[in-house]
Amino acid sequence: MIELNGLNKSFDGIKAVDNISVTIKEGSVFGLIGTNGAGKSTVMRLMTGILRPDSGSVLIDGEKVYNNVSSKSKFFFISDDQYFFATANAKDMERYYSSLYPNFDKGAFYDYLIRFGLDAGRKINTFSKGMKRQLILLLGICANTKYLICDETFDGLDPVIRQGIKSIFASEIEKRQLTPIIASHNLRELEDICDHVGLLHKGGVLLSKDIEEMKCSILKIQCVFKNDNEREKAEKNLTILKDDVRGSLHTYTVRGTHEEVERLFTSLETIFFEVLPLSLEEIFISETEVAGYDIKKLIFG
Amino acid sequence: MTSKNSFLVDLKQNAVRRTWSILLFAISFFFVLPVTLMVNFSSLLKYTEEQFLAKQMLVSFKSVVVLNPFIMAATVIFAIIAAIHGFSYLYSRKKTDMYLSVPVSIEKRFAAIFINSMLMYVVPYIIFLIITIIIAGTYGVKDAYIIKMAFVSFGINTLFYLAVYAVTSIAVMLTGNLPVTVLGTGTLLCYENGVKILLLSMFSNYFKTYSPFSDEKFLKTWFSPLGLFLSFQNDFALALKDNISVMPVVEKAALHLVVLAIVYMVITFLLYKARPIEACSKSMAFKKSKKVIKRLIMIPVALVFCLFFESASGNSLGGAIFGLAAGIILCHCVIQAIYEQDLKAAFKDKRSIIYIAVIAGFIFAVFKFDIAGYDKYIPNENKLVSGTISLDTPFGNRASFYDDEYDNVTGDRYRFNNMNIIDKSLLCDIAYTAAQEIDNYSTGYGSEDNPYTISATMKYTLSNGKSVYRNVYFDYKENQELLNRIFADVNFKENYLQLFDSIFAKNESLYEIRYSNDFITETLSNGLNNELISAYKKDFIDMTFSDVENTLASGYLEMYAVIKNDNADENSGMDDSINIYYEFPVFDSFENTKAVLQKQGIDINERVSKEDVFSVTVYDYVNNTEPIEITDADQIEEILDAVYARSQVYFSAVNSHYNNDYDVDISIKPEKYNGYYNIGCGFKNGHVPDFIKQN
Repeated sequence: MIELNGLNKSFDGIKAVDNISVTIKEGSVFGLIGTNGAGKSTVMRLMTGILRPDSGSVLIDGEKVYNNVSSKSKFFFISDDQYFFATANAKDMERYYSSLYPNFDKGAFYDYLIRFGLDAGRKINTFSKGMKRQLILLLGICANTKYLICDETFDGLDPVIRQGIKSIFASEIEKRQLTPIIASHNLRELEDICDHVGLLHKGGVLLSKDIEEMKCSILKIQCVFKNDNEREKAEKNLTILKDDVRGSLHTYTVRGTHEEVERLFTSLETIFFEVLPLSLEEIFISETEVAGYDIKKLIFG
Repeated sequence: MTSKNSFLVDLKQNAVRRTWSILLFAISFFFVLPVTLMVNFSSLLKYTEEQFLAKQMLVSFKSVVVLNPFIMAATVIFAIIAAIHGFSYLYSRKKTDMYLSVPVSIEKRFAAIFINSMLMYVVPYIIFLIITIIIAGTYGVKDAYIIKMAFVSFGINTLFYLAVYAVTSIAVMLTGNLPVTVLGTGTLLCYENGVKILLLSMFSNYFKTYSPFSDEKFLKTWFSPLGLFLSFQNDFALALKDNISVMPVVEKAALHLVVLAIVYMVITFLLYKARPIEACSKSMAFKKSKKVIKRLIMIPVALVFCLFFESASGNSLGGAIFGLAAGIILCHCVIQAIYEQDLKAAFKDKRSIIYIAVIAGFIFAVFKFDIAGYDKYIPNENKLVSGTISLDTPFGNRASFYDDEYDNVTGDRYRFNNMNIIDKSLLCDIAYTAAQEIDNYSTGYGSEDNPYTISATMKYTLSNGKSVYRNVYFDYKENQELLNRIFADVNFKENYLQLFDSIFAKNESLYEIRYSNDFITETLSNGLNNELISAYKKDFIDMTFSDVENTLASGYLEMYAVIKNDNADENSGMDDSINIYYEFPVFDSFENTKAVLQKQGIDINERVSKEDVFSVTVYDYVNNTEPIEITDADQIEEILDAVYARSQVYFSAVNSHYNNDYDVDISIKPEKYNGYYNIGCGFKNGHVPDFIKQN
C-alpha cells in the first residue's frame, strides 16, 4: 500500500502540492488525473522519492521512500519524458534494469519485445515516441516490482497498444498483484484501465474513489412524468446531483443503485423512463460539480 | 533490494556513459607521454652530437615523465571534465527522474561516479607512463632517480586531479546548469589567489610604504588547488634543479593536497545529499547560497573596477567612486541575470547593491585614506625582536649577492636573510622618522619636492614570529644623526654587502682583484687579496654616513672569480663553471684600503692626463644644443678636473652633488690603452666650466 499523508511541496514559493493525502491499495489500477500544472508529476516524483516533500510523508508498505533503497526496489517509475542512455538499445536498458531489479524477467521482456514488434538491437534514439513508451512500459512490467508508477505514459499510445498493455496489466495483477499507478491529464485515457481514480486540482485532491463504486452509485435517468405530483414524488425520493429539464423531459443524475431507482420509477406514473449508465467523464462532472467545481473546465478545457 | 554485484554494474554503467571522456583521457596520455618521447628521441637522434646524445635523451625523458607541463594542464581540464560529466545528470530532470527513482543509494551512486572519475585518469596515465618508461629503456635511457620522480609526479598529479575534481564537484553541487558550473568552477579555483592579488594591488597602489616582500607569505595558497599546485611546480622544479631532495617538497604538497581533497570531497558529498533535485536547469541549487556567493564576488569585482577607473582618471577620487559604483551595479546585474536566467531580473535584490556599496566603499576608504594607519606604522618596541635596514645607499645597484647555490639574489633579499639589527630604538626611530615625514611624499619618492630623500626597505621581526616589511623614506639632510646611527651599527655594516659572509670568504683567495675609476684600471697582485680585503672591511666598518654624504666614490674594487659548478651536467654540453663578480666602492675616507693600493702604486683618484685625451664631447640636454667637441688641451684639463665618471653615480651615497644636465664623453688616444676608449662622465655640481656654459 502506498500512503501519501499530508504532502506539501512548493517550488520557489509556488505551492505545487497542497496537503495531499491519498491511499493506494495493492492489486488495483490507480489513476491520477488532473490538468496540466495540477501537480500530478510532482505527486509522482514525491511518491517515488525523487523529490523530498516540504512536509508530510510518503510510505510504501509502511516504509518511507525518500532516499530508501528498499522502498525504491518495490516500484518502477516511468516518467513523462523517460531517459534512455545515449546510444543504448533495448538490450542495454534491460541489462541496466536487470542489474537493479533482481526479479527482472528477461525472458518475458524479450518475448514482449517480439510481440510488440520492437527490435532489441536497435538504438532507442531511433525509436518513435510511442515505441519508447512501449519499451519503458515493458521494462517496467518486466522489472517485476510490486508497483508500476507511470506519469502520462499512456497518453498518445495507440488503441491497439493500449489494449495490449491493458491485458498485460490484467494478467500481472492477477498473477502477482501488480499495482499500476497511472497519471494522466486525460480522463478518457484512464477510463478503461483504472479501478480507482484520484482527481487532482491546484495541488490538492478533489476526490478519490473506486470507479466501479462510482459507476454503481451514480445513475442518469431520463423520464417524462404524467403530472407534477408524480415528479414531486420522484424528486423527493431521489438524491439528485443534477437536474436538467427540456420541455417535459427530465434528466436526473442521481446517487443510488440501479435496483433502487428502477423500483422507485416503476411505482410512479410515468409516460416514459429510462435508467442510463454514466461514462466516467459524466460521473466526474457530476461529482465535482457537487463539490462546486466546473470539471469541464478543469479536465476537458 | 539491489543485486550483489549491483555496485560493479553501476560502476560499469557509469563508465559506459562516460566513454567519450575515458577515450579523451586515454588518447591525451598516449600523445603526451609515449608519442612525445618518441618524437623527442627521433629528433635528438637526428640532430644531437654523439657525445651529448645519452645525456640529452635522459633530459628529454625527464621532461616527458617528470612535471610535464602538458600533463599538468591536462590534469586541470580532465578533473573539470570528469566532475562535470560525472554529475551532469543533475542538470537534467529527465535523468534525475530516472536515476533517483531506481533502487541505488545516494552513497553508492556518488562512490561509483567518484571511483570512475579517478580510474579514468589514473589508469591511462599509469599505463602510458609505464609504456613510456619501457620505450625509454629500449633506447638505453634508464635512470632510477628519474623513474622514481616520474612516479612521484604521477602521485602528486593524481592528488592535484583529485583536489580540482573535488572543487569542480562543489561547483556542480552549488549550481544547476553547465555554464554556471563552469563559471563557478573558475571562481572557486581562482577566488583565493584573485582576491589576494587584488589586495596586494591595492596595498601597492594606495600605500607609499608598501613593500612587495610582504607578499610572500600572504600569497601562499591555502585553499585553491590550482594555486597550490603552481607553487608546488615551482618548488619542485627548483629542488630538482639544485639537486636537493625533492621529497620534503613533495610530502608537504601531497599532505596539503590530501587534506584539501578530503575536505572538499566531504563538502561535495554533503552538498550532494542536501542538493534539492528540483535545482536542475536552474542557475543555483541552494537558495541560501545565492546571496552569499553573489556578494562575495561583487566585493572584489567592485574594487577591481575602482582601481581601474581611478587609474584611468588620473587617480581621481571621482573616478574611483565611479568605478566602484559601476563594478557593483554591473556585477550585481550580471549575477542576478544569471541567477534568474532573465535580464529583466537584473535589478532584483537591490539590498545587496546597498550592502556591497557600504562594504566595498569602506574597504576602498581604508586603503585610500589609510584609515588603519598603514603608512605610519611604528612597531611596538616591546614586541620588536630585531630588524633589517636595507638602505638604498651608499652602494645602490652595483652590489651583487649570491646564495648558497651561487644564484644571484637581490640586495634586499640577502639582507633580509642575514641582517638582524637588535638595536630596537634605532629601528623604532627609523619608523618614527619615516612616519613623521610620510606626508611629504604625497607626490611620490624622488620628486622635485623631496630632493634629499633616502629610502630603505625595513623588515621588523616581531616576537610573535611575524615579519613586517615597509619601504620608508626620509630626508637625509634633516636626519644625519639617524643615518650615522645606522652606519654605526655593526650588524648593519656586516650584512649590508656580501663581504663578511662565508660564501665570500670561501673564494677569497680565488678573486682576481682590480681597482678602477674608469680612467685607470689596475690589476692587483693575488698575494694582496687577504690584506686588501681586510683593509677594505675595516674601512667599511668605520665608514660613517658623513664620510660618504655628498661624496662620490673615487673608484671601485672589482673582484672576479670562476668557480666550479658542482651541480652542472658534465655531459650535457652546458658550462660547468660559475662566474662570480663583486664591485666594492672606494671612498676617499678609506685610508686602510688606499694604503694597500698605494703599495701597488695605485692612487685612487688618478686620472688620465690631458695629453692622453684625444677629444671631449659635451652633450647639453637642457638646451638640446648640438654636441660640442673640445680638443683644446687646456680646456680638456679644466674638464678633467670638473668631471666624475658616470659609473661612480651608482655608488653615490646621495644624489645631490652631480649635474645631470650634461653628458661628457672623453675619448682617450688609442696609444694609451692600445685601442679606442671612451669614458662616460658628467660634471660635478657647480663645476661646469664657463666655456661650456657660454657655448
